Amino acid sequence: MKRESGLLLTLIILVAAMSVLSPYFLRTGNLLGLTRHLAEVGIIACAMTCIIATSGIDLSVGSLLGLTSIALGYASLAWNPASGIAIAFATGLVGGLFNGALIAHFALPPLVVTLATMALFRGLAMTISQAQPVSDFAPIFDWIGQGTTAFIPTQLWIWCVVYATSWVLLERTGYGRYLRAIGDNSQAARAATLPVKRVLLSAYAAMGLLCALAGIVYTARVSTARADAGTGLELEVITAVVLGGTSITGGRASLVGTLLGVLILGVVRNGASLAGVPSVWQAIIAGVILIAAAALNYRLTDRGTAH
Amino acid sequence: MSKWIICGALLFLCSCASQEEQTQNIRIGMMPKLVGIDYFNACEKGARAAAAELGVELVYDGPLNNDVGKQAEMLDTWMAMGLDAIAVAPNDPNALSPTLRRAMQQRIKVLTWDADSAGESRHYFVNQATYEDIGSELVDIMAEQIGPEGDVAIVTGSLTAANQNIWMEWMNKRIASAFPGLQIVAVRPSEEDQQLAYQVSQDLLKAHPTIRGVWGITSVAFPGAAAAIRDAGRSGEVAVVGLATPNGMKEYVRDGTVETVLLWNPVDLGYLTVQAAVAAVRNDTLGASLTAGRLGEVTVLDDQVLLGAPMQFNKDNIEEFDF
Repeated sequence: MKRESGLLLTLIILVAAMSVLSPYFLRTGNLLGLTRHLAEVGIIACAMTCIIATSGIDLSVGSLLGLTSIALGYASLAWNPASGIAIAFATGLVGGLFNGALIAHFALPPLVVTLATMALFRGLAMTISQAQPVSDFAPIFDWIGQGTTAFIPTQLWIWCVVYATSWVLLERTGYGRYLRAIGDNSQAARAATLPVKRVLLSAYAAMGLLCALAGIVYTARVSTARADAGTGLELEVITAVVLGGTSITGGRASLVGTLLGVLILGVVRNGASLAGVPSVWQAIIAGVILIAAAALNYRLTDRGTAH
Repeated sequence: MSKWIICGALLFLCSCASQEEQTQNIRIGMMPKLVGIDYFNACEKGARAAAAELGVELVYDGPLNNDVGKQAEMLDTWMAMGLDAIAVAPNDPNALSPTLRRAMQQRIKVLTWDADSAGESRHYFVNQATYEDIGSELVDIMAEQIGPEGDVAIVTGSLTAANQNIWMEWMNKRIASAFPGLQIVAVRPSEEDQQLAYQVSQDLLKAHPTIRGVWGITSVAFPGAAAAIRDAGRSGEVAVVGLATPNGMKEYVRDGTVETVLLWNPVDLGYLTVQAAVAAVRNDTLGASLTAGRLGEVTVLDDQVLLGAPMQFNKDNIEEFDF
């Protein structure tokens, strides 16, 4: 648990620092508003943690989010919000299964597969929509994206549910142990008759579903379905997961770490914005944080710290 | 060890952040479509000049690319900062409406500039010139150069930008009423990316060899298109007309690829936006005209603040301007 405590301490220090840099940081309005965007990153980060634990990766999450956003838009317009949401999930599922099938059954490297589907899904989204966004959404989407439930942004509740479910799956079930075993040594896992293919396929499929959920939340937040939604999201998600201590080489996973990673990145961006740091500097800061996180990861594992 | 990294990061942040002061100063937030292109850098110059003149605090920032999701995020953050007014150039007329409406509910004065936002989501729109003037003049200039007939194409920015779409609407109207011999064979987006504009223009020349003129209607599409035509060796044969900053187009005007550049003064646009925002905060509403510092009396048409008429740059005057 050493790593997670370090991250928690970092988060606390950063929160203190940001509140010094700007008197607006610690206001409830600001912090809750911050979670609106973080929810989208956080939801996908849950699945990304599982996938990275298997020593895989998924670069197509941003593009799949865009594709599900377009699916949601067109289906909602043609029929109704419920169909729209169903079609969005179906699209995400198909996308995830596509990734999973190529990776699990054809044993293609996840990096290459998801790099390709990153382009494929985005291209599909652009072609279907002809780069035209879809606006005009029913009021229920306003509630999801811009509204509150018991004073808390709706998407924060959604994130909590996803996080809790993922945590139980990863930490308390055999499924979670399988994921780590595959990441540690997939040959050994196969030899031990673990259902490697099924586990991998389901992990990427679940990612597809969560991308769809994030796509619905994003589309609801901006009230527009856009083919370019989620551009660059994969970088944010992977940074958060790596920062959280999940090893990129697989075998170790920490959802608590991922949560702290997402929060740290969010706090830094939000605090920097409030303090007047221009956007151009924030990109540099994000890069520096990722390098620091990777270095930290390396040093901790190098010392053989028991996990 | 990690603690040193954190301390270092904090020092770094402290050194480049500005301290928030609880003053009675008016605080304005101004957001372009994106940062890092000439046109919006020019707007920033004007905005900062106005802020200095009026003695108000200006936060000027935007996303690194024309991403409306990031604009929404940034607006969320700004709304927590207790700003008196927010002026934004939206990348999409609908996507920011819910966020801007929330800002209006929080008693923040909301203005849009350069491009508008739909759905009653802003108090005022600072428009550079009427859409009709810009669209019609773009067509008139083309017709002057290639005559009243021929195949033409448009390279625009983003297919969702409200201003670019309305200009194209007026271009179509002008063609229909005055130059029906002009045939628009293609309209392509270039997403505020000059490389993409270059590529797209090259493809246009190959796909439509009979083209006689190309419009590049953003400050990034225009130089991209001009470069493509010059590199294809067709300067003078294919006319290139559009909207861009003088600095972006000087080389093409000098070598003859481009005869006329249409724009307005973006420095003035930025200046006027801050003036209008401050006036809206001080007086709550704007009357039929606004005294905007060095710009004098500016017309306010309903809820649109008009900068004026568009301006033409050509080899006779382009060297005088530096933006």
